[in-house]
Amino acid sequence: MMLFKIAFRNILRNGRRSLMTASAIAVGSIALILFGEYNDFVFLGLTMQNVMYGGHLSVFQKGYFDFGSGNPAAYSISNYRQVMTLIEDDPVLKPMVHVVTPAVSLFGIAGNFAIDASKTFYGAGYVPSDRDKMRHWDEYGLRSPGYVFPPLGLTDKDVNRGIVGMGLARVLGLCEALKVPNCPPTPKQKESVVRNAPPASVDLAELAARDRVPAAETTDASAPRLDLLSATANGSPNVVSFYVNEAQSQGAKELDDVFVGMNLKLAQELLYGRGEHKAVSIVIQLNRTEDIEKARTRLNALFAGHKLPLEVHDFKELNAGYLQIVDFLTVMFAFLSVIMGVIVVFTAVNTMSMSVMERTNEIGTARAMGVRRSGIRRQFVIEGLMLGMIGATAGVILGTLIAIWFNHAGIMYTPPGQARPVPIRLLTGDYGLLLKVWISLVLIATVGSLIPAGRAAKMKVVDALRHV
Amino acid sequence: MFKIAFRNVLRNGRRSLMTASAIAVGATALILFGEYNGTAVIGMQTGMVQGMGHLSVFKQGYFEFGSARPLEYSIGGYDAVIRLIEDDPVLKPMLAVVTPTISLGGIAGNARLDQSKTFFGTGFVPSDRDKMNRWDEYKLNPDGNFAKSGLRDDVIDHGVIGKGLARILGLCQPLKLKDCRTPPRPASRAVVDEPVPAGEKSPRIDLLSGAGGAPSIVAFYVNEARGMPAKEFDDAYVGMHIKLAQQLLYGAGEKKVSAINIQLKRSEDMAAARARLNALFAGHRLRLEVRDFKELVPSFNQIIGFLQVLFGFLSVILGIIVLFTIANTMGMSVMERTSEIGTARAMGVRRSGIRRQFLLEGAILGVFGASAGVVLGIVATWCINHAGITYTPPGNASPIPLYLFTHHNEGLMFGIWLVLVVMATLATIIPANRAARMKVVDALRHV
Amino acid sequence: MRNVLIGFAVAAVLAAGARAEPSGQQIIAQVNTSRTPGHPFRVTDYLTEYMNGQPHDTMRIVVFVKQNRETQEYDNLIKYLEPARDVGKLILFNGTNMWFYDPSSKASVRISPQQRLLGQASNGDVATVNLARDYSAKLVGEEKLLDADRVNRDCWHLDLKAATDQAVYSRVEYWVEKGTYRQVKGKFYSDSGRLLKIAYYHKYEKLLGSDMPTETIVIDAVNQNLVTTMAVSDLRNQEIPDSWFQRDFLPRLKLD
Repeated sequence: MMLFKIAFRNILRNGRRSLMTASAIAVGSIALILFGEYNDFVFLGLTMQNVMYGGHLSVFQKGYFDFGSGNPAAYSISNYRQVMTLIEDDPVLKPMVHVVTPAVSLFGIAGNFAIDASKTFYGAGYVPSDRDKMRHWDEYGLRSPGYVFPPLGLTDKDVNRGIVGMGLARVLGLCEALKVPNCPPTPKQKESVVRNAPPASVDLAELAARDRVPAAETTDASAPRLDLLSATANGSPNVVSFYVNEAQSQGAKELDDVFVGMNLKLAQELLYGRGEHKAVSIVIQLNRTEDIEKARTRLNALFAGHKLPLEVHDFKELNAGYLQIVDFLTVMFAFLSVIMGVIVVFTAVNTMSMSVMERTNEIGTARAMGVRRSGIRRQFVIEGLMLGMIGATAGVILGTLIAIWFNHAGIMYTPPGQARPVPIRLLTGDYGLLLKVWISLVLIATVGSLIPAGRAAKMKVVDALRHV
Repeated sequence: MFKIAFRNVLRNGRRSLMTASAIAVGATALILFGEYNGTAVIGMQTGMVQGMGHLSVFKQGYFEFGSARPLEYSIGGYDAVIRLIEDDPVLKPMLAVVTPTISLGGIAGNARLDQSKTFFGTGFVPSDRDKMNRWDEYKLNPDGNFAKSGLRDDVIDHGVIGKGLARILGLCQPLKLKDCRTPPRPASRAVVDEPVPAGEKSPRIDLLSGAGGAPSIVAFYVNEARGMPAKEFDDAYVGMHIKLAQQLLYGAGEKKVSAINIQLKRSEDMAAARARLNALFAGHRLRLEVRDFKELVPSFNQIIGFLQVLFGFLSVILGIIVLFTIANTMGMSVMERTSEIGTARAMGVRRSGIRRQFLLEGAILGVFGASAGVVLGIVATWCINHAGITYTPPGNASPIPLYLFTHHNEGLMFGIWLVLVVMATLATIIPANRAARMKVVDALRHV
Repeated sequence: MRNVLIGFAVAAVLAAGARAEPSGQQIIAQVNTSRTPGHPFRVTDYLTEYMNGQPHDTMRIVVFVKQNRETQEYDNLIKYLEPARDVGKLILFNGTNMWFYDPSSKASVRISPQQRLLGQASNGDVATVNLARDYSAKLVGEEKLLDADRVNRDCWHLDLKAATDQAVYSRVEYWVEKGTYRQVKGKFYSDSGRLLKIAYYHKYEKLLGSDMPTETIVIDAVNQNLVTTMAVSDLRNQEIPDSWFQRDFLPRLKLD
C-alpha cells in the first residue's frame, strides 16, 4: 500500500510530466476507440443493411438453393402458413424471433405495351407491413433517433401497386411519369416489315377494336401501369396489371435494371395462378444476430421432426457479396489496426520513457539514499500503471464524448453495394472494445515505463546524480 | 535564425528524437495506408481492365435500352469498325487489344438427364481474351500467374460454364466437381434412357438461342466449370467461342456483335482514346457510342469513395495523435527552457523573436520526422512486398499476393510530408506563444 | 413470333343436323369432335404476325397430331417449312412438356413453360388440345354476334372453366353458331382473370368430310398491337407411329 501512496505522490509531484504522459495515453486510447468504433460501424452497418431487408435466416423447399435457380414454382413451400405458425409457436424460437414473413421471387416479362416496350424482370413479392417491421430492426443502435424512413412504396391493402427499379423505369419509358432523373429519350422502334406477304383477308384493326378496352378503364391517373407476364407451374401463360407507385434505386445496376417490388398476393397470383398459392421462402428476422446458429439448429430439428422437406440458409450464404466485402474489409482493418497499434504503442512508450529519463537525477538520488535497483523499477512500474489507468479512463470517457459529438455531425457515406448514403455513426455502445482498449493501454503504459526505468536503474549512481 | 533553431534542436537531443520519431511513425503509417488504398484501387482496376478492357464500343442506345432488346443494339459490319480503330494513326500506338464480344442468353439443356436451364453468357475470341488477361500495367503480378480463358481459337464448340449451372444440369460427376448434388429427374414420358459413354472428357450440353424466328441449337462441350462470384451468375454463365455464339444467334445470316472491347497499353490514355474514337465515329457517320469500365461497373466508384472516407478518417485520427505529441513535447520543451527564454528576453530578444524561434524548431522537427517517415515508409513497403503475404480482394475467386503499389507514389509521399511539416509547425504555435508571453522576471527566476 | 398459341390449331369435322337445345358440355363435345377427328392427322399452317397492322413475320409449318392413348391428350409434332433458315426444325409437344429440335446439330432441348415465355423458344407454339376433357362448359345464353367477315351469326354463348391442371386457360368464352356448330369467336382468360387472347374463326370449308375454319385470327389482348393470322391447308388423315412423339427418336425422323 505504501508503494501506491508513494507512487501517487510522485505522480502529483511531477505534475507536468504526469499530465503529459497521461494525456498521451488518453489520446492513444481515444484514437483506438474512435477507429474501433468506426470499424464496428462499417461491419455492423453491412450486417444491418442485410438483416433489415433480408432477415437473418430464410427457409426454402429442399433443393431450392442448389437447383431452384430460375424455377421457383417447382421448389415452393406448400402450406407455408402452417410452417410459419409452427415456427412462431415453437417455445424455443418464440423469444428469439422478431419477424416471420413469407416471400415469393419470380421472373417474367414486364411490358409497357402502349409504347411497345417490354423487358424481363425479377419480381420480389412480400408482405409490406412485415417488411416495414423488419426495417425498424436496430440491434446495434446504428440508427439515429430522429431517422425518418423513406416510404416503402407498397401497402398491404393495394395489392396491385408497387415499385420498380430506376433502370427498369427508364427502359420501359416510365421515366417522366415517375420523375426518375437522367431520362433518356425514348428510341423510335423500327419494326421490320415483311414484303410480299399476302394481304390480310379482313380489316384486322376493326376486328381488334371491337374488344379493345378503353384506356380510361385500365389506367389509373395517379400511377402508370405495367403488364407483368409469366407462366404458371402447369404451363399457363398468366398476366396481371401492376400500377407503379414510384421508382426506387436498388443499388447494384444489374438489379436496378430488372427489379419489381410487389405485394406477396400479386406475386402469388402471377406465379401460381389457379394452383395452390405457395411461398418460395419464409424469411425470419431474429432479435439478436448472435442467435442465428441456435435458431438454425432448432429450425432444422423442428422440420426433421415434422418430416418437412425444408432447408435453412442464413443471409451470408444468400448474399455472396456480403462475405466478399467483409473479407476484404477484415484484411484492411487488420492492416490498419496494426498500424494504429504501432503508433499508439510508440507514442505512449515514447512519452513514458521521456518522462522517466528526465527524472534520472531523482533516480540517482533515491539510489544514493539506499533504494535498490528493483525498488526503483517497481516504483516506476506502479507509477506507469497508475498513469496508465488514469490516462486510459480519461481516454475512454473523452473518446465516448467525441464519438457522440461526431455522430451528431451526421456525416454521410455510401456503403459499398447500397443505394443510399447513411450517416456515419460510431458505435458508442461497444463495451467490449472500450474494455479491451483500456486494458491494452494500461499494459502499454506499464511496460512502457519499465524499459526506461530499468535503464535508469542500471545507471551508475554517480552518473545518475550528475544527470541534467 | 535557422542555425540557432537547429542547434537548439540538437541540444535537446533526446526529446527531439522522440518527437521526430512520433512524426516519422505517423508519416509511415499514412504512406503505407495510402499505398494500400492505391493498391486496392489499382487491383480492382486491373481486374476490370483484364476482363473487359478500358473502353467498350456499343451501338448507340445500348447502354440505356440494350438490356430490354439486346439484339436490336448489335453492331453490324464490326470487322470494318475494328479495322478502322486498329488502323487509325492516333489510336494505333495506344492499343493493346481490340476484340469483339457477344452477350447472349438462351436455354442450356443436358439431353441425357432431360434437364434444362436458362443461361446467359459471353462469346469471345479466346486468344484475345488470354492476351487481355495478361495486361499488367502496374506490375501487380510479377510471377505471371494470369487467368486463362479456358478456350482455344481453333476449337469452336468447347467452353466453360458456371459451377451452379453445371450442378443444375447434372454435370457434377462428369466434371468431377466437389460438393455437388445431383438434381431430381423431371417427370416426362418421352425420354429413353441412354447409357453414359465412359471416359467422355468434356461432357456435352446443348445450347438453344436465336435472334428472331425459330431458335437454333448447337452442341457445346464443357471443358470445365468455374465458380463465379455472384450466385445468379454462377447458376447461369456460359463462356463460349464467339464463332459459336454467332452461329447460334445468326446462323447463315449477317453476323453481328454486342460490343467491341478495347484494352489500352496505358490507362492514362483512356480519355484521349475515347475522344479520338468519338471523333472517328462521328466522322464516318457510325452510330456507335463509347463507355469506359467505370461506367459499366458503377460499384467501382462506390468502393473508391468508401476507401477515401476510410483514408480520411484514419488521417484525421493520425493527425490528432501527431498534433498532440508535438504540442506536448514542445510544451515540455518550453517549460524546461524557461530560464533560457528569460535569459534571451533579458538580452533583448523580442516576443516575436521567441515565438519565431520555437516555431522554427517545430518546423525543423517536422522536417526531420517527416523525412525519416518517408524513408521508413519506403523501407517498410519494400519489406511488405517481399514478405509474400496473400489476401483475397472482393471480386476475386482466389487470393493474390499483397503487393503495395508504389507507382507514381511521389505525389502521395510529398503530400504527406508537407502536411506533417505544416502540422508540426501548427502544433508548436500554442507552446511558442506561451513561451513568448512569459514575464521575463518570472522566467529568470525559474528553476 | 413470341406468342404462345396453344389451342388454336383446328381440324374440324362437323356432324350435320340440329337437335333440341343441347347443354354447354354437349355443344363443346360436338365442337371438339369436329375439331379433332378420332384419327391421327396432319395439317399445314401458314402464320402471319402483324405489328401495328403491318405484316412483321411469317412462317409455314406442318403439324402432326395423334391422340395419346394413356393421357387422352393430343401429342403434337410440328415441323418448320418456311422461312428457309428454319426448315427442318421441330417442336414436340405432348400436352405438358415441350422440346425443340434443331436438325443442324441433331440436338433437342427441353423447354419449360417459364422458359417458353422468357427464353428464345416461345414462337410458333401451335398445338391441338382436348377441349372437352380439359374444360367444363356451361351454356350462358344466345347472342347475335358479328363474325370476322362482318356477318351476323346466331350463337350459343358458352362459358368454359378449366377442369384439369393441363388446361392452359383458366377460363374460355366461346361463341358457337347455332345449328352449324361452327366456332365463331373465342376469348381466352389467364388464371388472374385477365383477357389474354381473342380468336375469330372463319373461311369455313369442307375438309376431310367436316366443316372447318381454314383461317383463325388471334388478337393479343395484352400487347394490343399484335395480331396473328393462321391459314390452314392440306388437311389429311395420316398413320403416325407413336415413336414420332418421342424425344430420342427425333434425330432419326424422316418426314416428307
